[in-house]
Amino acid sequence: MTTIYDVLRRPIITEKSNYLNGELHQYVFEVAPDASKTLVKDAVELLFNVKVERVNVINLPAKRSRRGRNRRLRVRRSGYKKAIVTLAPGDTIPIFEGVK
Amino acid sequence: MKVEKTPLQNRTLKLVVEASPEETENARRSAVQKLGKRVRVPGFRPGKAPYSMVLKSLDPGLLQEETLAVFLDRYYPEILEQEGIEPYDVGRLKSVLNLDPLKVEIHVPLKPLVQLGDYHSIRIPYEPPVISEEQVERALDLLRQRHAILEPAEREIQKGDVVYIDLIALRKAHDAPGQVIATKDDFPVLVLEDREDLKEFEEYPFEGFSRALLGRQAGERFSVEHSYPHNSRIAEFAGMDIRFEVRVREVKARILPELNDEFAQSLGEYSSLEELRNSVRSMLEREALEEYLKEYDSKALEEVIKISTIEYPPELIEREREAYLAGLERRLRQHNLDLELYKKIRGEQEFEKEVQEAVEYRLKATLTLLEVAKREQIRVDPEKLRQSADQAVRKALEKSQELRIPKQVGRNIALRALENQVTRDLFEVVYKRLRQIAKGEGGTRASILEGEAIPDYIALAEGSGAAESNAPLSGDEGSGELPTRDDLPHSLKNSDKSSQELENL
Repeated sequence: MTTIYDVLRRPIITEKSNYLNGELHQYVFEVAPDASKTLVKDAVELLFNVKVERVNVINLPAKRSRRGRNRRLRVRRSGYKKAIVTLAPGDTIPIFEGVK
Repeated sequence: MKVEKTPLQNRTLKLVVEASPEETENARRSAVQKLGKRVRVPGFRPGKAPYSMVLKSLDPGLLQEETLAVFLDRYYPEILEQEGIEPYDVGRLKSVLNLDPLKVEIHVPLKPLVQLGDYHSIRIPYEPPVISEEQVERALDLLRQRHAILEPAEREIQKGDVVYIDLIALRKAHDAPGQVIATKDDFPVLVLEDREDLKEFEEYPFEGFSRALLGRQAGERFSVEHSYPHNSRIAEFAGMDIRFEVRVREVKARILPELNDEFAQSLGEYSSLEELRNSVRSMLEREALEEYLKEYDSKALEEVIKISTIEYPPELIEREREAYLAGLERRLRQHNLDLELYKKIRGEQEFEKEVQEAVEYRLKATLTLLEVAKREQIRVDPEKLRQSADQAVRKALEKSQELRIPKQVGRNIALRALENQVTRDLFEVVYKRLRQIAKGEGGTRASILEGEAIPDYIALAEGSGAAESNAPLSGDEGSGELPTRDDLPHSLKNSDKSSQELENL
């Protein structure tokens, strides 16, 4: 059973999330596979003391790729669930703040 | 930004520059931006990661280095302009005193300072060499020797003969007795006469070998032994005891032509012996005078250096040293030697001392000559300059085309040749002037140069372009127009084809 403290796994910091953050005031997290939008909203609001306006969730499929340069060995990279959280204007999450 | 200036010895200015925190931060941001293009941050394309992310993944040492480089690139020219400093060469970063905010110590080389002493009072007795009859006779005799005819002789070997021998060199040693070190077949040996001019003649395989041949005849065999020292000039025998097995093959007598009109005519250009004698005398006189003038000029220059104060930054010495070593290496290569080997032969310390002395003298000589040129307002005839420059450029271009050097490099070579030529021409005139002064027939500067325009090409000759370019001008400026460093090739544009080619490069 996922508790509210287990929902958020890690912040996702990439060029795209950086863009979303800057332009649309959205923050991106990897979340537990069984987390719902409501759970994510509650978790973010509780942990960062902010007001969440909207949560979008996407299930990213697992992907197969090669190991190193080896053509035969294929590995499976597990899929994960990603949540894109839109905050109310004026609220920010400090862990993303350094990334500007 | 705070800048502290302290003049040091040797024409060097010490600058301690302290940047403000904002300037440091600006430099760091630029450095991160620059380095960020090469750093891979997961989740970002190269060069797209934000400042804080790149900062975290960068090596701190690398970042500091780059920050410093950016800072100096951006602010160093500004500092020089602000403080009114005219550097002679590239400044050197001596030490970093603080990192945040940046505080650095920079040493800036300044223009060399030459204070000439009263060189107008220098007098050196001028005694050009006189060629004696004896010297002329000796030269004629040498000429005869060179045109000697070899004729087979059926007799005992005498002094002056040329003997053809077969020679086997065997080593005398406990571990390798009879080992053949060298063989020569039909090897010509000159049996030396007792003449002064042959004292320096280097015999093979050892000094005095030809004496051993005296009195022998063709077909005779004999052996002779010799011990070589470790530093023998014949490297293959150095440090060995050698027994030479010799067989005399053939004896030829050298028949010298008689010294008469016929001999003079056989040389081609002369109709009589008298004419040959005169020509030899004038050639000897010319050579001796050239030699003497060279010596005289350098003596005069040495005197000027002695009474002058010359200060220059150490960077100049380094640059001169590089040029000197490059020249030395080139000369050594002609003798199939390299610098390392030469160092070993001379001894490391001896070599360093020699180089140091030579470099210092060269630098002082150049600076003094340039200063004298400036003081004496010496000019090279523009037409002559143009001609010799043109020739130098043409030669350099031909060479670079021959070697298929890329155009830009070829252009640089041509420019350097041009610079060298200009300097050479200028120095030639300066030496002449010094000679006049030392001989005591100097007169005053004004009387010599009255009414002539003085071109400002000393900056050109100094090469760096950082030289003072406000040499005093006098007289009619219009007629003495001379090109500056940048437009010299351009000004030669219409004078000759080769200049045109330089332009095309």
